[in-house]
Amino acid sequence: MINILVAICLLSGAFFMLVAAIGILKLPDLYQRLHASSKAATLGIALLLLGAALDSGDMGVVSRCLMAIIFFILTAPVGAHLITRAAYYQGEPLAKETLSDEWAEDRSDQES
Amino acid sequence: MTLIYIIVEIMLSLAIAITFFRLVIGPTMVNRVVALDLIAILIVGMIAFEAVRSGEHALLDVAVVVGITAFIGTAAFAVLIDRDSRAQKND
Repeated sequence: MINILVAICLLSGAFFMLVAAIGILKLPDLYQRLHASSKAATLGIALLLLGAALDSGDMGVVSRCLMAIIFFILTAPVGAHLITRAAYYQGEPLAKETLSDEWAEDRSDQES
Repeated sequence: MTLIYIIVEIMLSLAIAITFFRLVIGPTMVNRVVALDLIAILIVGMIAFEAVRSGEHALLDVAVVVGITAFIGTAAFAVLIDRDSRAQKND
């Protein structure tokens, strides 16, 4: 029974990791790539670590896995935000499908 | 269970290969930083998977440390890019 749960966790975690990798290759601009990598990869790593926690059944390992999951959920958005902010003010281009860019004036102010 | 291990191993390796492709072709430096960050997270996932496969649960400590190092590296790259663009504007 626990083996089936572990297998489901590992398979879906690896699937979401693969989705993140495909997203980072196929999406048109940096911001959408970060969207793919930060969300899908966080879910994938959480599922893989949950699989490891279920597999051990030891309280020490489970608490370590939970700590790692919480750490990734806290730091992935922070890292993505830092990178996006730096890239935007550096002048990283947006995809041509972009509909609105409300910070465009702000960015040109800082550049001038 | 062995078949599932093989499938998971192949999926994670394929993900690292695809991300490495973006690391090579990435048009700007920021794209490469993002790809490196994702590769680090994928390596954490592979370590967690290896902990399950081999039964060595002490490997999860390594996974946590690699995750912390990856976050610090991403934050350092963001600060570096920010400072770089500011220095270019002041010129």
